This record gives sequence, structure tokens and C-alpha cells, in this order.
Amino acid sequence: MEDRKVILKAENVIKQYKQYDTTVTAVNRANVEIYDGEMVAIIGSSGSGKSTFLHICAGLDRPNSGRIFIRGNDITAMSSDELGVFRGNYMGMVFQNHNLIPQFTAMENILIPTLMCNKPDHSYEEHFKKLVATLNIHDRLHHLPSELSGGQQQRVSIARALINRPQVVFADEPTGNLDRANADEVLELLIKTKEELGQTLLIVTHDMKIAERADRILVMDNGVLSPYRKKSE
Amino acid sequence: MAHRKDKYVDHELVRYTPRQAIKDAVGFVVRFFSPANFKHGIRSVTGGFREFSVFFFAMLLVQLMFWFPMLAMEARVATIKKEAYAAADYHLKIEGFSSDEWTAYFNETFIITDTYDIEDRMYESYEYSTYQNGSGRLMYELKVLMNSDDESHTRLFLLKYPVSGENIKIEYSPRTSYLAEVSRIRAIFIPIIIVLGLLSSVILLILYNIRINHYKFRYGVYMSFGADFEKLFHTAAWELFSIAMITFVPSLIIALLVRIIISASLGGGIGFGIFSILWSFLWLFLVILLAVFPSVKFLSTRTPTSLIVAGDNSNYVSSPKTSFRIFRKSFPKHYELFGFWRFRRYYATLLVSAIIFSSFFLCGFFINSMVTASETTRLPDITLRSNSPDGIDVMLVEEFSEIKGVKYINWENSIDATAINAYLVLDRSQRSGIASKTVKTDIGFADNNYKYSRIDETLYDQITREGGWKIEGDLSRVMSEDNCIAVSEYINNSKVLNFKVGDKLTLAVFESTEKPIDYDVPDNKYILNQLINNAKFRFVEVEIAAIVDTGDTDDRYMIAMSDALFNNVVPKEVNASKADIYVSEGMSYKDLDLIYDTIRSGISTFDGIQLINNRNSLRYNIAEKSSITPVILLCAVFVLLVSPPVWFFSQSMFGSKRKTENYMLSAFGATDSELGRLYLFSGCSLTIPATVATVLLGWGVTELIYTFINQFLTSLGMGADFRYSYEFSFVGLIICVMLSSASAIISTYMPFARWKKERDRIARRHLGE
Ligand SMILES: Nc1ncnc2c1ncn2[C@@H]1O[C@H](COP(=O)(O)OP(=O)(O)OP(=O)(O)O)[C@@H](O)[C@H]1O
Ligand SMILES: [Mg+2]
Repeated sequence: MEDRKVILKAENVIKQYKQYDTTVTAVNRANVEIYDGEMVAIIGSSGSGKSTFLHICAGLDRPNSGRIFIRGNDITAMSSDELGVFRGNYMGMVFQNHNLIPQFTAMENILIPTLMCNKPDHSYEEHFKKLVATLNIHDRLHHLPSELSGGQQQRVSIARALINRPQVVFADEPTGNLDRANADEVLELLIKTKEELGQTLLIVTHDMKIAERADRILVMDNGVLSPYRKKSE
Repeated sequence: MAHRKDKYVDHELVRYTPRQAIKDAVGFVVRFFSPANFKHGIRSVTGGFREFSVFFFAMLLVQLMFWFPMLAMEARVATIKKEAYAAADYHLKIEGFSSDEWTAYFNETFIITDTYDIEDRMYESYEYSTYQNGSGRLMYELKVLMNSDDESHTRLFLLKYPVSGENIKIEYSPRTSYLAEVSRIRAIFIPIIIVLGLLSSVILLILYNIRINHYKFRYGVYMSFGADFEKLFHTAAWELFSIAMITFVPSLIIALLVRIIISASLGGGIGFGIFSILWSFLWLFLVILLAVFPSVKFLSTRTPTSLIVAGDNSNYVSSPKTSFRIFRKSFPKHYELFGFWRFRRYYATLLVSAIIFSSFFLCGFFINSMVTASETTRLPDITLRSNSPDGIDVMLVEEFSEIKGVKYINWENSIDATAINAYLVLDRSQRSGIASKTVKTDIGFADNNYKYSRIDETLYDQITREGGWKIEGDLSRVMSEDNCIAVSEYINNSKVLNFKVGDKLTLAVFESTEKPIDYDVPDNKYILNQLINNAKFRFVEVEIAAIVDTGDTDDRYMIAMSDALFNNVVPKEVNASKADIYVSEGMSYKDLDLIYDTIRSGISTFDGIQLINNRNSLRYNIAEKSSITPVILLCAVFVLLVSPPVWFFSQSMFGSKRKTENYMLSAFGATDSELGRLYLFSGCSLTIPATVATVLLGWGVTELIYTFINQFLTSLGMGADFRYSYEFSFVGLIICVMLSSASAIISTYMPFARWKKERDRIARRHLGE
């Protein structure tokens, strides 16, 4: 285990939100090392800071202090432009509330990352077909998000995260809106692509069943991140 | 040494070299022109036509703001050439040959030399004639038509066939000098086009900024999935470019049609250079880059999460603290007032960005009035200058004023107050614009920034003719009463004094010095101070009988008086050194030449008078036939036309995000009419700050421009040589106020109406199912 490469490393990450006289510490000195090809789940109660931490790891938000390394690159020291390109090429994000662009069709939403990274058409066509088939959204591609069910929106959002074959996938409650059968199916897909492409997967979930599929489980409690221990232990 | 941009990529340090910097920059440009960007731009604007409709409109206007002045310039150039050709059928005129000089020049130099080299002869043809000058001597005049309009060609001709002689005068005709005038016109128009380009950038910047503000969510998503500054910038610029390409042909056609109509109605020429199309692309390119750069740069420094969170109107909220109080107050009035307060940042931005265009419009009005003055002010066609101490004889002035076509002669018999150590005493209220230049004394404020002018019967006749001076009060009293004077109130183009007819003034006449005075200082005020303290003066009390405007833009104002008073206050003999001859309007170039010839024949060789043909009628005709005032007004109106779209664009985006609020309010029991009242109230209340902003911005910016032109440029020696005034256009202001009020009300109410329609449609659909 020791010789495995660290792909994501968080060092003393602190994130606070100030509003007038109150300060919310959403993430409090989080430290973690995630290895290449690992699947790690983060669980924790609502409002404990899971999404905030995930956003910071994915370079979508800046911490107040602390550093994030991805493949040895300190992303907290990158300029916003470098970070933008880096996100597009190495990371995929599934947002908790999908964040689909309402004026775009499902297909256009899925293809946003390819457009933003100037990927030529042929480089993703095959992958795209496979993704939408597995996610079972191939017949909804020309619908607007408002015309899709919550679960379908979620699957579009997952397809969007995977279209650029990112090395690290961040998924914030990717099965939140899905029923058991569908949730399992989506999880299988995530795990399968992870195996195929050698991805690293960081997943936030409420669902213990899903968390148990991970190599490791972390708990977020009031901004403090720690390894999960079963009650029986 | 570690460079700021050195970085670790996969644990390896990568140095940032200058070579890499160049490669990055070249890459940025090359990628800009990639077909993918172009395709994406076109798709984006054609797909989201409604989203971009305001940009289509703005881009059309922006391009018209290029083409209108461009075509006006070409029309002016064409007219200059046309009129120059009409004004003279020769390039070079040499006059004032005596018989001997003529024989020598014509036979020995010009003709003889030329018969040998007909091959490379420099002229097409020539013509010579004789005339008698004032003392009865026979003089010769030569006119040469060259085979090129180039000034250098004519100059070469004069080098090849040099002339010399006591009274010889060489004049390049308009046919030669028009090319210089063309360059001058281009030099004037190019900055204008650049300024309009900056204005266009501002227009597009404001609109694009509104767009970015309202689509923050979308840009946040883009950035989450790999968009950086380059990508956002390329996308934004190409969106606008695509719009520009689509509107290019229509704008050119409109501009050409308008040009044809204007030129046809004024009787001027038309021109169109194919190169101007290339210029227009370059211009547009710069305008667009300048417009999108700042907003996109700012956008790209934000984090994606902050953009996604700010996707609704909440990013405009300035103080959520007040929210808990909203519902306690009366609905809808107080509710909306709180809304104004909560969204004050949004409303302030909206007001400034919509109303700044009103002020540009009003500036257009002012610039238009200034250009009108420059185009219509009649300047003297012919000027006589005397080098001799005797000056210009009254008899000559009387004689020349009888020539048919001469309107009047303004002829100056004046001396600067500083030249005779004189000053006058103003009271506090009179010295408005020159307060800082005056010296306080026991009896008032001393000033010497003026000149004494003598009005005798002849000048009085001239300046009271139609087209002479503008006179307020009774100028005849100046002639008949010994203590009456006329004053002008201008220095350069600024009204610096505040006289009233009937005011009394004290003139100080220098008698002798009591202590030595140091004149060797550049500070005029200091010298005046010394004079007052160290010299003896005699005081003459006078009354202002008339306030006149001579149209002069001299650097001192004028105190004019009769012979008797003049001799009393000016202890020195003064003769007229200059006479300006103004001619009637609408004369043919032949008649103008005739006037010139008649005057030339009236001056004797011994008068020491220099005769200058200013050809201001030609200038006036060109300005009239290719007037740029219609273009200025049109551009001003175009700029104003941007204002309503800013309102509608911004408010409809803002309003569309209030949909949920509407549903929520009606769920809480607000009726449609209450909601309607809310939006109507909102719109109506907006008219108040809008009006205030219009008045303040409109007045402020125009005042600023006027000060810039009238004070700053003048202080740099670039002041205009004609009188123009600062008239704040109240009609323009009222138009602006009405436009912004109407826009405020309608643009605020419209999103509500749209929401209601949408809701009813959805309701019907649900019923139908
Ligand atoms: N933009 C923000 N401004 C202020 N406070 C915020 C902001 N975003 C999150 N917070 C606060 O930070 C804390 C952590 O929020 P976060 O979204 O990370 O929780 P979470 O663990 O993802 O919860 P959930 O399971 O419900 O998604 C919360 O208390 C939240 O109110
Ligand atoms: Mg969350």
C-alpha cells in the first residue's frame, strides 16, 4: 500500500463564511490523502460541510487557508485561468443540485466540457454514445432540463462530469434523487468507468449502502473530517 | 530565479521562459481565429436570437457610428475637390510683376527654357494679363495650370523657374492647396471616429456587462467544466463578431442611403473608398475587444461556486438584514420600497448605465451647435495688413466698401492697454471670468487685459451695416457723447465680463512713474501691481453705452470709443494696421475674383499694404455643401436610442428572476391587481431618480465637455477662431427625461405582464390535460 501514488492531498483546509457578526466554519482543518484509483466516500449530517469541502477539492472554491494538491500540483496556488483549464482536463464534477443550464438541452449540457476544452468532435463521440446508453438517457437528449425528471437530470449531470474522461471524479450525492434500483445502476456505472479509465472517485453520500462500496469512508462532522469507524468497533 | 509563472506539473518544476510567453501569446491569437470559435459564435447568437436581440440592435447602431462619419469625411473630401476646381482654373498665380520683371521672367526664364524641354514640361497651359495698380503703374499677372495637383509639383516649378521682384506675390490656388485641406480633414475626422469607437465600446461594454451579470450561473457552470479567461473571452468576442458580421451589410446600406440623401439635399459630393471596409473591420475588432475585455477579465477571476450561487438576483442584495421587516409594512408600496433598498446596487448600476447615454446625446447637441457655428460663421474673405506706421488710409476703406459684393469692413484702430501702461477699474460683479487676473485697489479691481479701439464715422458706418457687429445698447451715443464707450465681453471664446448698459467705468491714464518699474517679468499681474503703486495716473469716468460682440476671438476684450475720447485716453498716435473685408453670401467664384482684382487695383505700390486672399467663401461653401451637422445629430440620436434597450434588457432579465417571487406573493394572497400595482409603482418611482440622474449627468457632462474645449484646448492654443456659445439644450433634456421615464415605467411593468401571460398559459395547459 505504501508505494501507491497520492493523487489528492488536502492540508489543513479551512473554509469560513462570514455574515455580519456570525462566522460559520464549514470546513475545519481538514487533512486527507487519497490514492490513485481509490474510491473514497464522505458521509456526514446535513450542513456539516461535505459539499463545501468537495468544491474546494475540485478547485471550484478557494479555502481561507490550507492547500490542495492534485497530482502534486498545488491548485490553491494556481491562477484562476490555470485552474480553469486544469478543472476541464483532469476533474469532473457532479453537483448536488445538478446545475444544468436551463436554456440548453440535455445533450448540450452534457457536451459543455468538450466545448470548453476545445475537444474535437471525434474524440468524444463514442464515449458519449456509451455514456448516454448506460445512463439510459439516450431518448431524452433533446429535452430541456425542466422537461426531465429529477433522476434524469441527475444522470445528465453525471454524463457531463464523465464526458471528458477526467482522472478525478467528484460526486456530490450522485444518487440522491434516484430509487434503489436506479441508484445501484448509476453507482455501478461510476465504478465501472472508474475501473476502465483508472479514475479516482470522491463521493459524498447519505446512503450507507453506497458508502460501503468505497475503499474508504470519511466522516464530516461540523467541518471536521475524520476516518469512519463502525459503531461496533 | 523563480519566475512568478514557474510551476510544478506532476511534481516537476516547469520554468516559465520568455519563449513560452511568446508562444502563449501567439497561441492566444491563433486560437482566437480557430474555426471552432467562429462556429460557436455564430451558433450561439443565431440559436439565442432573443437573448442577443439587443446586441443586434446595438451593433447596427455602432456600425452606423462608424460609417456615418466615415462617409461624411469622404463626402467632405469629394466636395473640397469639386469646389476647389470650381474656384480656380489654375494652380499657381504670380502677380505684381513690373513690365521689366515680367519681360525678363516670361521671355528669358519661363518661355525660353520651356521651349527646349517640351517633353517634361510641368504645366498644361498658362495665361497672363495686365492690370493697373493704385498708383497707375502697369503690372503683370501670370496664372499657370499645372499637370498635377500636388503642391510639391508647383513648388518644383517655382524652383525651376524662380521669380523675384519687389512686389511679387505668389499664391497657390485652391487647386493646389485642396490636397493639404483634405489631409487636414482626415486628421480631424480620424480622432472623431476613434472617439466614437470608444463610445461604441462603452455601449457594448455596458450591454455585455448586463448580460454577464444576468448569466452568472451559466458562466459559473462553464468555468466548472474548464472555461478559463481565454475561452470566455474568445466566446464573448466571437458572439459580438458574429452579430457584427450579420449586421454589416444592412448597416452599410443604411449609411450609404442616408449619405446619398444628405449629399443630394446639400448639393455636395459623395465618396466611398473600398479601403474603408478594411478600416471598419479593424475598428470593429478593437471596439469589440475593448468592450468585452474588462467584464470577462473580472468574471474569470471569480470562483465558479460564487458565480453559481449568485445566479439569482441575490447577488444584488445589499442588505438582507432588512428582509424580516418587509411583510410587516403595507403591501405593495412599502414592500417595493424595501425592494429598492435591498437591490440598490442593481438600481444604481441600471440608472447610470441607461442614463449615461442621455448625457452623450446632450453633448452631441452642444457639439452640434459648436460645429454649426464653425460652419456658418462668416470670416473675412480678404484681409489688408499694413506694415507702414501710417496704417491703412480711411479713404481706402471707404472706397473698398463701395465695391459691389463687399458687405462691410471691420477695420481695427486699436492698442493694447499694456502698451500704454493703462488699466481700468471694475467692480466685483463685473469681473466674473477674469477675477483671478485683476488687482484689488482702493476703488475696485484693476485690469489691463483689454485693448482700446477707435470708432470713427467710417468704421461706425461699416459695423452698423447688416452683418457687422452685434450691438446691445446705443452705439450712436459712443459717437456723439464724449464719455460714452462700447465694450466687448469676450476673451478668446469665453465671456469673461459681466457688463450692463449704463454701467460706469473708470479708465486710468498713465502720466508718469514715481519709482522705477520692473517690466522684465512674465507676470502681468505683478507689473500691473507695480504700476498702480509706483506710477501717477489720471482718471477718466466713462459710461457703457453699448455692449458689442465683434465675433472676434482675441486674447483680450475691447473698450471702443470715439476719436475724441480715444485721443484723451491713448497718449500715442494709433493707426489701423489691419482691415478685414467681409463679402456677401452666395457670390460666384468669378465675382469674388473680381472683388479681389478691384481691391488690388486700388492699392498703390507705395501703400505698404499686404493683400491677403483668405478665400473664406470657398471654405464656407464647402462646409455648407458637406455639412457634418446632420451626421452629428444622427449619431447623438443613435446614442440616445441605446438607452431604452438598456432599460428593457436589464429590467426584463431582472424581472424574469422575480417570477418565483410573484408565485410566492400570490400564494400568500396578493391579487393580480395588487401585483400589477406593485410593478407600476416600482416603475413610476424609478422615474424620480431617473429624472434626477438625467439632469445631473446631462448637465454635468455637457459642462465638462464645454470646459474642456473652451478652457483647456484654448489654454493649449487650440481654441477656435469663431464664436460659439454654451447653450444647454432644454429641448434635448426634456426628450431625455421623457424617454427615461417612459422606459422606466414600461420596462418595469413588462416582465410582470409577461409573467402573467405565462402563468395563464400554463394554467390553461393544465386544465386542458
Ligand atoms: N455561500 C455560503 N454562504 C454562507 N454560508 C454557506 C454558504 N455555503 C454553505 N454555507 C454554510 O456552510 C455549512 C456547510 O454547508 P454544506 O453545503 O457544505 O453542507 P453539506 O454537508 O453539503 O450539507 P447537505 O448534506 O445538506 O448537502 C452550512 O452551515 C451552510 O449554511
Ligand atoms: Mg451538500
